Amino acid sequence: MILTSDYVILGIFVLFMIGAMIAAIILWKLIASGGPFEIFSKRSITPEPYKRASYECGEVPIGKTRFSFDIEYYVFPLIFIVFDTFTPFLLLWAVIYSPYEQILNLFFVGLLIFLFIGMMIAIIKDGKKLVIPDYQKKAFLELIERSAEGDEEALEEFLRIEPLTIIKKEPAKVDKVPDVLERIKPIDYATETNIIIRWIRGILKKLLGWLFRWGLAKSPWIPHLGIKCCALEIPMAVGVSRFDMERWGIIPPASPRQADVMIVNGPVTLKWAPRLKALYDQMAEPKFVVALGECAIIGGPFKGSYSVLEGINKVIPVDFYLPGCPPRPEMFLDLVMEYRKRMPVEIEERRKRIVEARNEVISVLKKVLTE
Amino acid sequence: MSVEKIIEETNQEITSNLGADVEKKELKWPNHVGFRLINPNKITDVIKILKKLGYAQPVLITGVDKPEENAIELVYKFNRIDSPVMAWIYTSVPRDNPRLPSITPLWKAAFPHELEVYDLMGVIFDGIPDLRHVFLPWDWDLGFPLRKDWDPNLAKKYPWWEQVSNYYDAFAIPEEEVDDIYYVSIGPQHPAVHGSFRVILKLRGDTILEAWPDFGWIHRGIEKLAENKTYEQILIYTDRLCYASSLTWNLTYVLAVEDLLNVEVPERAQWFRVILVEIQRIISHLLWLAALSGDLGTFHSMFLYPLREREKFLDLLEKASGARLTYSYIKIGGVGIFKHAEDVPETWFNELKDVLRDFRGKIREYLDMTASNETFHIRTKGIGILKGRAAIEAGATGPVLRAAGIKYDVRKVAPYLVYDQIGFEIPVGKNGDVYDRWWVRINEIIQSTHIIEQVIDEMPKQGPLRTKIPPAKLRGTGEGFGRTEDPRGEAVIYIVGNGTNKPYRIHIRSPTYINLSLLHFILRKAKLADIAAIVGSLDPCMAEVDR
Repeated sequence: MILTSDYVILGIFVLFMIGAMIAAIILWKLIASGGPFEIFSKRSITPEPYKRASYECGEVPIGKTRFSFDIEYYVFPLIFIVFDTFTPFLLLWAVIYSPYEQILNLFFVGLLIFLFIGMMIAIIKDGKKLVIPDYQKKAFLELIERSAEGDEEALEEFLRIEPLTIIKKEPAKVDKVPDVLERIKPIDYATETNIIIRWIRGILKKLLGWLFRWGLAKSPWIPHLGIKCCALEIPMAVGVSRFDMERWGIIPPASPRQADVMIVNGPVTLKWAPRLKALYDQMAEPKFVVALGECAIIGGPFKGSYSVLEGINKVIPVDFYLPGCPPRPEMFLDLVMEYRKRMPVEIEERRKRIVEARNEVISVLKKVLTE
Repeated sequence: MSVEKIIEETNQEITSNLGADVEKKELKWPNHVGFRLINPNKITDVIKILKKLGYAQPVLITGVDKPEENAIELVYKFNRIDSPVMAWIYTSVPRDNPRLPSITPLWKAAFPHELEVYDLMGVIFDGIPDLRHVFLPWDWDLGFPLRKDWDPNLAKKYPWWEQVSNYYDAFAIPEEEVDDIYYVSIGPQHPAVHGSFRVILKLRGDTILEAWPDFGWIHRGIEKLAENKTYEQILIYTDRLCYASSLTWNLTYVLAVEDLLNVEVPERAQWFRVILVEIQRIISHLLWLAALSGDLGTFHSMFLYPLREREKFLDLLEKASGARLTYSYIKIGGVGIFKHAEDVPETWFNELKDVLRDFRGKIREYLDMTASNETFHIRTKGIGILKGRAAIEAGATGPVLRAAGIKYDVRKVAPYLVYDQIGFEIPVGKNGDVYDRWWVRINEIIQSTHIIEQVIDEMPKQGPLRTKIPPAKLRGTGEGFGRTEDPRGEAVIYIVGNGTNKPYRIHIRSPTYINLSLLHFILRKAKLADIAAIVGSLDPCMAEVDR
């Protein structure tokens, strides 16, 4: 009896675990882009090609970004993972069940030996290398070309990303109207017939949208992009104990992909400018840009130089300007307050604009392709 | 050897060996010896002699464009480890065919200097191993910015946005994978590179086979911009040369201008400048300590603590100058915000003393957290080694050279301001690894606190801080140069005046540019995981590198 009741608890736990996973997947399918209760429609997908670049250092890599390593680099992690996953089993095994002790012992020792032998065989048989599949091979431009030649699969994938650029790529070459287009429906929340779905979506939109904006306002993530002087003040001086920007929930992630607000400090040179655009493209929507210091606003004391861009707003859209050379940390804290006020309003407007633009582009695309 | 003996020996050796190809040039500085080389092709012979005579490094190689003479004048400057004597070699090459032999095969340290002269001035050095642009894109063919007749609008014609093809070809990176070798570009946006800087690495596994530092990300063309600004206006550019040590660059520039214009500085201002510069050195080293600790992975303690102390020093400088980072406080002719400002209050010095007293205890705290930490030793010892003669040969200066075991400090070798009246020691390392650089800089912080305390006690209590210079007097002809010990190495600013209130040419020798060029040697055979520690230990300040 004792044995069964223990296993019942364990079973409930396992069921809960699996259930939580399934629930998370279902929930994500529902609210993600393309689902019936679409909410974060543009959070994960933005049109720019740099979004798909493998790295966030500002440089677009050439050649393959995935390649084979020698097996020696994997042996330690493999052994670690194997023994790490065994640990839960070993815990069970450590519990003494007198009638079954020997059987369990045999079973687990056998399992260990079996997995160990299997691993060794795999290592020896595979030879020196483990090859990682090169699934990022499809470049964005390649996708456009293939879809322009009439490849439906590519077109579907491409349309999922961005319907804008295809018009430029001579769509007249496409002979028949792909069925894909029929499947794409313009987003129009008002025309949804099912009243229950509309109702649920309305609630979700209100609730989750509020939660989403609340999180964005209370904790903007600012990537550590240090170009010049101002980087010493913001985020360095405000990042440490005296001004302590973590009081406002500001965290400096290393990568722009997780960032909400990009602070551009310093004179952006012509050499930097394309990289800055790449970094901006890699950020997830909704994104904000702060031009920090005179140099980023208009070129500062270096205005008139042959290699300095006179203001970053010639490359990326700027939402906030913070003058100073460099601005004081207190000014930055003031900016955070301003950001909290303006951010929700701005997001709503942007969302509307994006939906409108997307609908318009899809209708134009349909017209062009059917003619 | 005494100064006179060295000068005499240099004179004798060069004139006897080169005969009619060289003529002596009188310089206004007493400890310096100058020559004009009539035949530029003989430069390698001069270099061989100078090297034999014990000159250590080519500190500065630069060009001055002279369209009316149809010539580009090249200036070479050599320093010594043991004495303040400097040798200056002047030579001219024709403007339409500027070619002369490279001295890089003889003296490795000349490599970054020669690249820079080629990059911005267009002088071609025959025999240099790899002649390409440094600050401008590698395939730049739109003229050379520092030439007087160059049109700045040409820069807009360069296809800046075709980025991928432009930057990989420079390093001959194949698109296909060859065996196990692969290439990684660290930067320009990367937490470990301290600003906008890129290192391209050729790797096998995690061992670095070769490394190429790539500069020019924030090249603003300060040297070109300064040619259209008055001497007083240029001061604000020197603030922004290195954001971590504005005052030391202020000082270097101001020394150069005062040398050019023959300005007398009040004695009290000289002493006060020492205080300011040493505070700046502490600030810079604290920032470096925090950044290195962050790179080594101890973000939450050793990153926060030095910056906490840094704020106290920043407050002091803010009280004196009104700014937190870019002070422009050391002015031509003295120190001060306003032209007629008389003094800083006595309480400021008392406050400084209090801050320093507290700071002593904090240094002990840092040592507890780093020097007694086993992980710190493992991460820093035996990594990024550059020591002994090799460091001099490669052109390192500052803490990097001192960590390599060479006792060379401009404050001792060629004292400026009142450093000859102050007692302090030069910390010297042994192995030239990351740990030694850390050790040298920590000790420099301690020495700086000693210097400041001495100066507070010994400086004149009364007297003006700034001489009044009428604007009409701010015009100079000839040459002026300032040579100081920056927190990062030997900083030199060289100015040529042409009688107007604007300089004809201004050249800035950035110590970090030379030190970072060493990455090519230091990173060889290093591990990928150590790159943050090695780059961090060189204390990069990219604004100063790119200029």
